[in-house]
Amino acid sequence: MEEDSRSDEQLMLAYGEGSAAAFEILYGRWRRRIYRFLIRQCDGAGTADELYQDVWLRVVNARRQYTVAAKFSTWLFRIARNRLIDHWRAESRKPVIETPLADDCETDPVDAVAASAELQPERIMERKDRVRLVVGAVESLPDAQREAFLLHEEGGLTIDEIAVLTEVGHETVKSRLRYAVARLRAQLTECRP
Amino acid sequence: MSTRPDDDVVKLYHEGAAEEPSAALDRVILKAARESVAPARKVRKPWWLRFALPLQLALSAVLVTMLALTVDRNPPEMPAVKERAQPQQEPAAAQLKAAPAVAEPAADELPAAPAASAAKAQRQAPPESRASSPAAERKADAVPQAMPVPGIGDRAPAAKAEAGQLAAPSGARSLEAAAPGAGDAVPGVSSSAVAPAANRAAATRSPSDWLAAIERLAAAGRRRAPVPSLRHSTRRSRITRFPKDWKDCLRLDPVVVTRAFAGV
Repeated sequence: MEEDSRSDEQLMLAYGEGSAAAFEILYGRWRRRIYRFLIRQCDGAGTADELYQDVWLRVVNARRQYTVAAKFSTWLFRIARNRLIDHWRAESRKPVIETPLADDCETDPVDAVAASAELQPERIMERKDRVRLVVGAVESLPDAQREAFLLHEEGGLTIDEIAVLTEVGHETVKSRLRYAVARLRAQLTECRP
Repeated sequence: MSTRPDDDVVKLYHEGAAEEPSAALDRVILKAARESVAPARKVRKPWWLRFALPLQLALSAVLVTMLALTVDRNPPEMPAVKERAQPQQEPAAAQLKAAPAVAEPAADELPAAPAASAAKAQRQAPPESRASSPAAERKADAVPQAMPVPGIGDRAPAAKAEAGQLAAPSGARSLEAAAPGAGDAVPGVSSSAVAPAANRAAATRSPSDWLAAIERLAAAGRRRAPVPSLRHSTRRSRITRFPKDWKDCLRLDPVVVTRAFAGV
């Protein structure tokens, strides 16, 4: 399934023309990444499953309208992000898209927002292994940094693509990524024996 | 700055990021994806469904043809004519009871009094037209008691004899003579015209003639002699059996045959 040499865009176009096999290949390529992108930003696996299914059903329903205006991954993660924002709005949580659009990351107040107490790496470190600590550290990142980090690591998007997707400037994305990695490294250093 | 692939944090993250959707979730999504594509394909009908309509039409045609052939080869016995003729006899019997003026003096001898009263309508038409024209027959059809039925000519001589036995010689014979060879005017109904002639002979008699004839029979001690013949004659004047040569009748006068068939 993964050996298909066609690009994601070609596969999506083939699926739009009625090829279910093309969708299966495409789904195999992106299923884990989308799932992890969602589960890192949701409260639980149940919510992530629900959002994950909705995202792919939106892809299925939008197969006829798909055009190659950008990379498939950008289009796919935009759907996932929009669905996530809808979920946050339903949960009365401040969505990521409403974060200040300042290019200066140093003054971005979103970056200063701390995770909840139960998601602090210290608590997680007490009961989970090292790898799990890293994942927890990612989950404890501020929303904007975590989103930029996940889009970069899971979606494979470039800084420019993330900037377009999140509707912020290039420098803002760059700063968010830098601070996210620095925070993770600091937390790992603190928690190492 | 961006994360580097060889960054230890990124490596650790990718090592620990092993979550993936469940197989059930995968099945649901892939099934939805396949179903969204499936309606675009042409749904093929079973091969036998393509011939459903032609088969239905052919079967209907065969059934109609078989039914038509069966009816043509085995014409029905027309039992409905008998069934419809019987209710006509009952009103006739009621009329017999409702005619005390003529029947009371000789209650058992004059069952044909209704026939006489009904035949008044026939007097309006000339004797020639009564005997031969279809219009006259249609008028006679309006009166069930005196309706001449084509094709019952095999019983007509009896009726003629009964009429001659009961009726005065002058009335009956004069009427029979008034329509000589009326039955021969149309082939196939030659003898059938005699029975209407006998009925007409009885119908043209006046009450005084009837009384005179009854008195003569009473004087001769034959008070009950005319009763069976009169009943027989009355019965024969109705349709009790559809004629065998009904096709010929149909060819001659469809209106009469249709009315006779309908029991009018």
